[in-house]
Amino acid sequence: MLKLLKAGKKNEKVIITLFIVFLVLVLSLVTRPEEFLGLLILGLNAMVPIGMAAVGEILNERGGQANIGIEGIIIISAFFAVYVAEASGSFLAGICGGVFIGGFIAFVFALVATYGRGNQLIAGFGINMIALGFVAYFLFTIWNTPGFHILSSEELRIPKFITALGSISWIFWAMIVIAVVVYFVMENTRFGMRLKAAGYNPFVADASGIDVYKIRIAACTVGGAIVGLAGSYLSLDYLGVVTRDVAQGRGFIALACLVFSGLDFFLAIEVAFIFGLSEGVGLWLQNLPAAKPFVVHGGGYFFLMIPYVAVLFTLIVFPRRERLSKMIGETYKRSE
Amino acid sequence: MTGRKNSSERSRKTGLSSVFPVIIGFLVIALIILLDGGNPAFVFYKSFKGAVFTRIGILQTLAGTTPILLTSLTFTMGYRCGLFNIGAEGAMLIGAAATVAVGGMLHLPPGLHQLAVLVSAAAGGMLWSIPVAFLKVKRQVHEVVSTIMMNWTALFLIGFLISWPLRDIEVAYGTYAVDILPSARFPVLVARGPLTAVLYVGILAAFIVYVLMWHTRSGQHIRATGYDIDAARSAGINTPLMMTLSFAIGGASAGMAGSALTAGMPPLWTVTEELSGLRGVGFMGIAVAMIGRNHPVWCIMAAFFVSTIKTSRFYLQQIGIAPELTDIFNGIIVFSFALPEIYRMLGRGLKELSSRKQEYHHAEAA
Repeated sequence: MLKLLKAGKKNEKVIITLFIVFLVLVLSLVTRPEEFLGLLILGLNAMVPIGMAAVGEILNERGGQANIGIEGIIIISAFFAVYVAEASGSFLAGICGGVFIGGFIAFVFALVATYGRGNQLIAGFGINMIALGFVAYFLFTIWNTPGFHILSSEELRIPKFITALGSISWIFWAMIVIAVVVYFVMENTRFGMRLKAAGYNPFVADASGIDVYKIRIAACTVGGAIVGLAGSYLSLDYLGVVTRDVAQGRGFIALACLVFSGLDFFLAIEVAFIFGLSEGVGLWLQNLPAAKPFVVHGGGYFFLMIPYVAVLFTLIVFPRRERLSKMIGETYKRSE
Repeated sequence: MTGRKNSSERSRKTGLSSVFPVIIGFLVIALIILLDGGNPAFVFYKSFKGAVFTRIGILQTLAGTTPILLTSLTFTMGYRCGLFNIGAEGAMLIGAAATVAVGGMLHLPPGLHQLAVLVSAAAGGMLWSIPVAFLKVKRQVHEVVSTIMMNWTALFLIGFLISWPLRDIEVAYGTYAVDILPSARFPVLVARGPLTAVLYVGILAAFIVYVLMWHTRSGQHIRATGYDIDAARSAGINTPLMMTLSFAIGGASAGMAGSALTAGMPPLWTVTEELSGLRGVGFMGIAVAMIGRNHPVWCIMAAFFVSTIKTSRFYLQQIGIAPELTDIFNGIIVFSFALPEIYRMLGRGLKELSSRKQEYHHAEAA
């Protein structure tokens, strides 16, 4: 086992998969059957924003830029998706609005990070801070509600994919499709190769005739649009409400998936499932009889900590090798 | 490679480039107010008049300076060590919880009690930064991810602590933590106002950080680590230890911010379930650290400025504007600090324009 832990990337995938199987087995033993199924489906639905944001951000980081503003993009696009959906009366328009605003913010970020040669951490965190104020301010000015707005009608929610066992959102399948498509583009097209070159070593990429700035801006914009879809899902489907911190750190959990997966799409989605499942486990624990005093006295706060503790725990327990290029997140100055 | 160049550029920036982002912030806010159908000049006049030129406003601003200054020191300590430590929010909440526990449940003589409160809050904040330092040093996890996870954990942990172990059961309506005992409260400096002696603690902390960073050997090592980690390592500096030290001192500072917001903030002297007045102070500290160019002494002035913005929230509410406008303002300031190149380009463009004009005149004269 220890040998496996110390080995390379392929084995890491195996370890994560084994860990997920182990987790699911343990859950199936400790829960009742009908509870177990609900838990799994909740985990799958809860992983969507995290996994989707992780896919978008991997696309961006492969090109060499680290956008920590995806939390802010999720919040703003969740807000815009609801706004557009209510204004137009159609959830599809809402999704489009969320995707568009996500791509737009990422485009501005990319401009700052490339031609502006700005510090990406500061710019990204600035987006997060703007998002917190922006959504709260416009919630107040548009709907006159302090802090939250519930979707006005259930018909604006994204329809679910209903089976006999449970209902999984369509967006979940969209996430899988997007991950596969992005993976294919990354590995099999000229654009993907150039993007990877620009991320891995921009100096060489530039010297061999790739326009590093333009390719990075393109990747960042598309990545931001995918993150925007994650935000739209959050408000139009999963929660059905938009609040000041609608993302609740999910953007940063997606970044944790990234750290953990070493920019591998499918590993990131597997890790996102663990974190999504931990959200479900938190809800499940809350309903146990043993947890009753915590819920009655503690106002339900205690079990909300679980997803974050799970992320920290996972990061602490599993050692990883540093496989990323040192250039990611650094400002690259093209020679003139 | 480019990272090193950046850090050398960083030290060459002039104080003037701190002003540009603030101006951009005001412009964008003015634009938002205009789009909303308001009059920006009136809004700015009302909010600044309220926050600085009324008795209660200036006292509130001065009282609010301390916690924001202390959280800005967290970011400053990190930035000087090459870290992006945004964990002030969580450490501050833990510090507030520690303050309420020690100040509300222990019985100590005055003087000693305030000291105990400060020490416990600092220790709480320091403990809260241990996992972050461990993840950074041993697991190479970027501190942005781990600090945000710790922030959210702290947010729900303090919610749990307030509503169960630390809850004041005598209050029938609403959920409040126990009151901090009078012996643990910082003395009020101006009667019937929120300003307390905790202001001195904040300013003292800023000077301690300044002396530590610029006039001691460890401070020099911390800055060397931030300047160029490879060079520092090959010069024999224990860079993991320096990072841990930076996280620990930053956490202690943010923890004290938590006690400044509770034991030093009349008339509440405790924490509510909504954490009113607490949330967001950690992030304001980041804006302060940037305006103050990550220098503790400049941070004092920057903290006063951002505290003015914070106080103006009350006055914005009075004229019917959502107070979250100030959060947008802080965010835009932080975002604008990512644009030094644009200011340089602007400056270069102006210079070029003027030189071209001169050439034109010369040519005409010839």
